Amino acid sequence: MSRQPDRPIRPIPLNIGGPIDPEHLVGRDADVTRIFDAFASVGVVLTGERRLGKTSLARLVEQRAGERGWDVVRQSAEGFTNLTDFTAALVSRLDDASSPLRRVAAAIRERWTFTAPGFQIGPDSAPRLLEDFVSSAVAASGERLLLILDELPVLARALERGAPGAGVAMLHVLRRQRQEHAQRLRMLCLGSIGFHHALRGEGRGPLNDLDVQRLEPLSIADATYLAACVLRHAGAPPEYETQLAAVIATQAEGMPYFVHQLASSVLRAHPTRCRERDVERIVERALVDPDDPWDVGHYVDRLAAYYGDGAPLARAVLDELADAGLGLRPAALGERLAVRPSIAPVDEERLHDVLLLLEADHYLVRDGDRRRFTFDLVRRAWIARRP
Amino acid sequence: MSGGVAGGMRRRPALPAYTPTSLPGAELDERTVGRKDVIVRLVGFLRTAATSRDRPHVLVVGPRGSGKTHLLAVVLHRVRQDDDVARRLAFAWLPEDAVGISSYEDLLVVVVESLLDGAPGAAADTQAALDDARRHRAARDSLALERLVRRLCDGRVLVLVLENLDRVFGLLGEPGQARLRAFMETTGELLLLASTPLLFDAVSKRAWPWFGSFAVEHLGELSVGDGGLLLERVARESGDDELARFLETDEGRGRLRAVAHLAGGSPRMWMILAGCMTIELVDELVPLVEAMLDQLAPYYQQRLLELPPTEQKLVAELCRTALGDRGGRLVHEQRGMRTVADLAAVCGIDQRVAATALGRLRDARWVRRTKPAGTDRRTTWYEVREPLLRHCLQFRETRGEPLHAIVGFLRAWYAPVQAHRRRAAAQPRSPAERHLLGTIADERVSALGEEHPDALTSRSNLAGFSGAVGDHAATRDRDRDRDAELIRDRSRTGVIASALAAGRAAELNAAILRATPRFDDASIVPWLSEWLEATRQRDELAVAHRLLRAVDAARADDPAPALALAPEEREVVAEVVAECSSQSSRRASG
Repeated sequence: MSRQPDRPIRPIPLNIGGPIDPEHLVGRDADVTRIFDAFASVGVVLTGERRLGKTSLARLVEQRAGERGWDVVRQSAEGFTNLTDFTAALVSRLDDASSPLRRVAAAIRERWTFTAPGFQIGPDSAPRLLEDFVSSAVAASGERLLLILDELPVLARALERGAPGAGVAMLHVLRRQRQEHAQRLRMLCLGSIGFHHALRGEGRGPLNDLDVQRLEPLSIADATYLAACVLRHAGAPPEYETQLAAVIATQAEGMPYFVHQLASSVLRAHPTRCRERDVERIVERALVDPDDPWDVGHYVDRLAAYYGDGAPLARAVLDELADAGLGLRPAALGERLAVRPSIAPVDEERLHDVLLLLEADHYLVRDGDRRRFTFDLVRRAWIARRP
Repeated sequence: MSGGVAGGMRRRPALPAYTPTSLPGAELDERTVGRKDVIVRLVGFLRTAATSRDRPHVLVVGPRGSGKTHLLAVVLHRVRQDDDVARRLAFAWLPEDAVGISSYEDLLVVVVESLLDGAPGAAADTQAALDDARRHRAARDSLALERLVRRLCDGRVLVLVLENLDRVFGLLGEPGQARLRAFMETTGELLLLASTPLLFDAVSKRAWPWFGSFAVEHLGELSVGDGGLLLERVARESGDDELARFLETDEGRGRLRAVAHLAGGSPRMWMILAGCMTIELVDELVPLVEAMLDQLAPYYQQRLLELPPTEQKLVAELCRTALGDRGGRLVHEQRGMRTVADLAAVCGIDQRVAATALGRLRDARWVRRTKPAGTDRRTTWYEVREPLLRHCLQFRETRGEPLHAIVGFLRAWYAPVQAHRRRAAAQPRSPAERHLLGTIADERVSALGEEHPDALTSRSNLAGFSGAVGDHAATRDRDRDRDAELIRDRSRTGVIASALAAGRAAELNAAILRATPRFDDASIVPWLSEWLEATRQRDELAVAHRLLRAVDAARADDPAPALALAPEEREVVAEVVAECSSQSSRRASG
C-alpha cells in the first residue's frame, strides 16, 4: 500500500503505550468529525478494545473543542470507587479552566464544605453533588461545556459493586443533566470495558440518548503513514519507510499500538537490514511466545470471568469461527455446534445472545450476515492458545 | 606463582557495586559499558516528553545486579546536561528501598519530599509544603496532594523514577495503581521511568490499569568483552595501570573468562569480583566468592519465602543439585532443565498441581519453559531464569561440599598444575582445600572423558546434547535419501561430545559450528543457543554460545556481534556463514 502523495513523512517519536501528543495522531480526522457531528445531539459513547487509541482520540477532541471556544472538562474515572471522590476530581479539573469555572469550583467547595473526598458527603448526597457540579459548570461556561468522562464503565461497575443500583443511578444523573442542558452540555463517554458489563439487565436505558460509536483501527494507508513517520524519527534506513512501513501496518492490522510495537521490534532486531518476512516472524513469535509479550492469552483467559456459565459456548463459537477464516452465518455455526456433545443443545436464542456479547467485547464483527473475528491477530492468537 | 602483577595478592579498593548513585553521574557515565543503545533510547524518550505532549513511559527489566540503577542514573545525568530539556522536566526519584508506601497518598507524599529535596526556596516554604502534604495524607485527600505535586512541578513534566516497580505497585494495590494512572491520563503531566527485576501482572496483563503502557527495555547480560572493558575502565579511573595492563595479558584474559563463569552477565558481580582479579592465594579468593554468594542468599531466600509452599518446593528443586558419581567420587551436579513429571515426583506432589504451580511461576517470571527442538513435543521443560538464584541456593544447600560454581570458577582461574600445587599448600580441611579437591576431581573426569568419551557422555549432559541433536535430525529427516547425511551428523555430534569431554574449547567451537549448516532451516541455531544457555557450565560453552549468536546475527545480515569477536573467532563465524550460504544456494538450485 503506497502512502498518500500529499502527506510528507514527518518524524513521530516511538511511543509504546504512553499518552500520545494530539499533534502526533494520524488518521483520526474522520473520527473527530463523526464525534462532532454527533454533538449535534447530546453526546457520544465511544467503544473499542483496549489500546486502540480511545483516550488519544478524546484528547484530540478536547483540543478541537477548545479551538471552537468550548469549555472542556476531561477526567479519567479509573481507580475511583465512590461518586463523591469522582465528582471532587471533576471539581478539581475546574481549577485549570477559565476564571468563571474556577469560581464555580470555589463555590461548590464552599457549598458542600468539603476539602477532602468523602468529607461530610454521604453516598445519598453524592448524586446531588454531581448534579450541582454539572449544572453550575454549564451555567458558568461560555458557548458550550464538553464533559469527557474516560473509563466511565469502570466507575459504574465499581459503584454497582459497592451498592447495587448505584452505578446505574449515576448514569441516570448524567442523562438527566444532558436532557436539562441539551443546548449547552455535551458528553463524550469512553471506556475499555463495555457498558454492558456494568449494566447487566438494564439494557442501554441511561445511555440511550447517546450515539454509540465504535473506534476502528486506522486504515492501512494511515497506519502505513504512521509507521513511516515513526521509522523516520528513529533514523531507520530510508528503504524501511518504503519497503517495511506497509508490512508493519498490515501485520498490525492498522492498530496504532501494534504499529509502534512492531516498529520498535524491527528497529531493535534488524537495525540495518530487514525483510518483510522478518516482520511477519516477529508477529508469529509474539503470538506463540510462552511469555506472551502482547498478552493475547487474555482473549482466552477472560472468557470465564466475562461469561460465567456461558463461557463453554463462547469458547466453542470462537473455536468454530477461528477455523473458518471468512466467518460463518449463525445457522451454519449452529449446525457445527450441534455436533459438539460438551455444549449441545444450543438453541437459537442462546447462540444469538452469546454472539451479541462477543460482538460487544470486540471478539467478533458482522460481515454481511456472517460473523467473523474482528482482528486476525486475535484469531491467530486464539488458535495458538485455545484450551 | 604466575601472577601478572608484581606484589601478587592484593585487593582492589572497594567499589560501590550496590549503590552506584553514590558516584557522580559523569563518573558512572564514563564507566558504562555495553548499554550504549539503551541509554540513547531512554534519553530520547525523556527528550520526547520534554518537547511534546507524548509521554513514553519506560520500564527497564533486569535481574538484581544487572545495572538498572546505574543505567537510570546515567540517563538522568545525560538529560540534565541538556538545559533546554532539563528545564522542562521535574525529577522525583524514589529510593530503591523506599519504605512506608502503602497507599497512593503515601506515594504522592514521597514524590513531594523528593521534589522539595534540594529545590531552591526558603526553608520555611519547604517546610510548609511538607506540612501540607502530610496533612492531606492524614485526610486521605489525594486530589489535594495531586494539586500540590502539580504546583511544585510548575508546568514541568514530572519524571517519576520508580525502582522496583513490582514492589511499589504491589504496595499500592490495584486501586492505587488506577489512581496513579487516572492522574497521568487526566493531567498528561507525568512520565514513569521505572525498573523491575521481573515483569509482573500489573504491567503485562490486560486486566490491570497499566497494561501495555511501557516501552520495555530488557537489560541483556554483559559479555566477557564488556566485563573486561568495565574492569579496565575502573582500573584506569582509579589510577591502577598495573591492573589495566594485567587485564591485557593472556592470564588476565583467562581470569576474565573465569569471572564470567561465576558472574554471568551481571555487572554487579563483575564489580564485586573486580576486587579479586589479581589475588593469587586461593585462601583469600574462595572466602571472597563465598562471601558474595552469602551476601546475596538472604535476598533470594526472602523472595523464595514469599512464595506459596508448593511453588517454593518447585523453585528449590529446580535450583537443587543432584549427587552424582564422578570418577568414583560423589559430587553435586547441576541438573538444568526439568520436566513437570520429574519435578512432581521429586517434590511429592500431583502432576496437575505441579503444572498449575509452574504456570504461576512462569507468569511471575521465576521460571521459563521451553520445548527444545528434537525432544518429545508433548514434554515441556522448566528451568529457573536467574543463574544467581541457583548459585545462591546451592551455596546454602551444599554446606561442606565444593560449590559447583566455585569449582568451575577455580578450574578456569588456575591451570591444573597450579591447582595441584595450591592444593598441596592449602590448609588441610580448609574451604580452599575442599574446593581445590573438587576442581582437581573435575579435571580428572575430563581426562577420563578424553580416554573414554563414551563412558563420560553416557552420564552427563553431553548425552542429552548428542542424542538430542541426533533425534532432531531423525525427526526432520524421514527421507531415505538423507540417511547418509544423518549418519555424518551423528558423527559430528560425536566429535562435539568428545571435544566437550576433553574440554578443548577451540575444537568444540569448530565442531558445533560446523554441525549447524546442516540444519539450514535456521531452527537449529536458536535451539542450540537455548540448549547452550541452559547448560552453560563451562567457559567453552559460553564461547560457543557467543559464536552461535554471531552466526545467527550474521545470517540475518547483522554483522555487529561478529565484529565484536576476536579475529580468530570472526574467522570461524565467517566460515560457517559462508558454508550456510553455499548450502542454501545448493538446496535452492537443486
